[in-house]
Amino acid sequence: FRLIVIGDSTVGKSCLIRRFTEGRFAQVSDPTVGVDFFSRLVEIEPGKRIKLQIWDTAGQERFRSITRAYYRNSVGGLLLFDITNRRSFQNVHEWLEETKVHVQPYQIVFVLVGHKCDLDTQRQVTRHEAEKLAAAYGMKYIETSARDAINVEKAFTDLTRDIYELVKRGDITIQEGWEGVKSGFVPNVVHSSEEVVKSERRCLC
Amino acid sequence: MQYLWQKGYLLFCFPFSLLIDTNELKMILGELKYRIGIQSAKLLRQLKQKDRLVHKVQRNCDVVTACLQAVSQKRRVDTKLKFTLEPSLGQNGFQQWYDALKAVARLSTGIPKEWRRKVWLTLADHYLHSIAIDWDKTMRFTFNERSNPDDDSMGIQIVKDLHRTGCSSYCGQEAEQDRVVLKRVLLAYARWNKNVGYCQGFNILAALILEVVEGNEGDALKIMIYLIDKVLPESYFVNNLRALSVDMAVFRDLLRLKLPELSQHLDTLQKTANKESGGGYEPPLTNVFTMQWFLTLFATCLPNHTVLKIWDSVFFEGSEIILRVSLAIWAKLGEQIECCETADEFYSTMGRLTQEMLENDLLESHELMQTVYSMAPFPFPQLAELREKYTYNITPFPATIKPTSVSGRRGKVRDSDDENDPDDEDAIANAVGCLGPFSGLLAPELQKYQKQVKGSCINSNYVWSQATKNKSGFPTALEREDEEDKAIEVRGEEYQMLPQLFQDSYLEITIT
Repeated sequence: FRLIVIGDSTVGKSCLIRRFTEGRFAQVSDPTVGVDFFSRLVEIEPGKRIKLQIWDTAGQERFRSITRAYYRNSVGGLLLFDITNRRSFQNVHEWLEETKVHVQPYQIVFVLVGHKCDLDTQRQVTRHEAEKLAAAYGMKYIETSARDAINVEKAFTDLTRDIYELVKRGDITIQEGWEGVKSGFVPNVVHSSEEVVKSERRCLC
Repeated sequence: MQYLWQKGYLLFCFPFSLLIDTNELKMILGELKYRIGIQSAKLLRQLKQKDRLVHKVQRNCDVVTACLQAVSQKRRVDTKLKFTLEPSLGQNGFQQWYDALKAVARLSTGIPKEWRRKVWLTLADHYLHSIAIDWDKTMRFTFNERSNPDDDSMGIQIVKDLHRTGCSSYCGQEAEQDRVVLKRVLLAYARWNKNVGYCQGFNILAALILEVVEGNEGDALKIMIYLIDKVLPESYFVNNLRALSVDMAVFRDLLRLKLPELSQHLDTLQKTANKESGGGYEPPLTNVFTMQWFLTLFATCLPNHTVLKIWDSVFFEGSEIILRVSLAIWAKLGEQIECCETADEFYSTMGRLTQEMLENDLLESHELMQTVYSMAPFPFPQLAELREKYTYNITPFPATIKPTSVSGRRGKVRDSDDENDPDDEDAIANAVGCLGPFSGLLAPELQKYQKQVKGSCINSNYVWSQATKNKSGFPTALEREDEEDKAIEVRGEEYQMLPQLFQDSYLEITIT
């Protein structure tokens, strides 16, 4: 599957993806210039592995005209906002409109992600209102943190599972080969970013 | 000396004193003469040494000149090559310095890293001088501590991006000062050019420049201005990165011309991906990479020493170097890419290859630059034409530039509008752009085109402005051709020769 990650700049799109695909959190990361991509395998049920190709996008407004070309080759997407940044939450609506216009008549299965939930003390968006917004658009809502590796795995696998279900039901038609495992730049071991962190922590103790 | 001063002081204090007898005065005089003698000899020695060194520098410069001429193409213009460390006064002096340094940059060793800062600064200073800038005033304004009313909107994004600028030297506590300087430079540029402001990716450019100028923020700003305002195409970073999109499209055409097999292979992968995804849309496969390369001038994807060499070259040869380097990279990667059977596989492979390029010196910098210089004459044939064409006609799938396809393409509204705003005005502008006079079209087509321009200008002012821009390009071409050879009749075939003629006239200009 191809997933796209969108949202305002500095909400943590690249960090979330890095945590998911590489199992680490970088304190410092470059702003994404244009688009970037990552891939990883996920196991959504025993023996059922799906290769995800995740597209990262630049958040700055002037990149929009270039990044939007990549909406249409994605079947699913994570729409991120930063729970400590009210503005990024307010822009969620705009992002949805933007994608809707550009993928019509097709659809992208989105999940709304409230990112940086480790910074609960600086929270500016309540879980309740985010859930309400997500429900209004028929999306799931999940809160994640790349720093503490909270729900990162879940966000991606849940989305993948949902898409998989839709595909099985035939709501989304997908050509052959999308779900298959292909050779190439795919790590053989399906590692879980959360497990990695736990083991790291044990080492530190 | 100390002693003499004391004596003098005594003399002054006791003007009427007769205590100092003539003998003592004579002694002082003698000593003074002796010391003057020593100092004069010393001065003379130093002057002679200076002369020797100046001569030595001159001789070394001459040696460099000779070497440069030896490796040059030995055209008439090359015999005038004269190497100096700094430009001598006047426009001629600068040009002479510029030509020589340009030749140095082309050598396999390139510009020595000890010179780089000075060379870049000289170029930037010359540009600022040419647009008559009061630099002190500019510095006061751009580096003003107090905030401007406009700062907020620009500053926010800069601050947001800053804490995460990934140059390894910019993280941690010690780098705090570096980050402050970087921020000041970025804000200063944004204040200098409000139209461009701040674009994600600038932090990468500025960080590299700061490294070269050893953290001098004023110098960094100068070079940043020279690079973005002068060297790179206009609106590379603004207006939805329009010029960047143009260059991405131009690049695909160049790839088709220079590496037809690879280009064909990529097109096939893209088409297959389009078909398979059933209604989805796969953007041209090279875009992800060229976009990043163009925006950061390779700063994020090649090793530092290679990047600096490329930048030297960009400063002297212009932005076409970026396209050349990209072509050279794809040529190098071509073989491995041609093994890929799907778009997904292509991206996976490229993910691995880009990592290798950055970390393992997959491309040897000398070899890369030789390819860059030797792949085509300067200026790159057809580049200007292609850029012009796409400036008015950005489509994701440009058909091959065949004159015959022109009439067939006219007026056809593309369904893939992803790099273009899908409004009607643009569709017409596209049609006009398709008929760009330089892509080798035939005379009858030209007449149709002019009619079309007349017709479409009734439709909307916007199209009119586009069309006039396009049209205005055409008479100049004619004039130039007339200058070249009045005997050439304006017939279809000749248009195809235009690029060649341009090239000749370029050579002519450089010779005279």
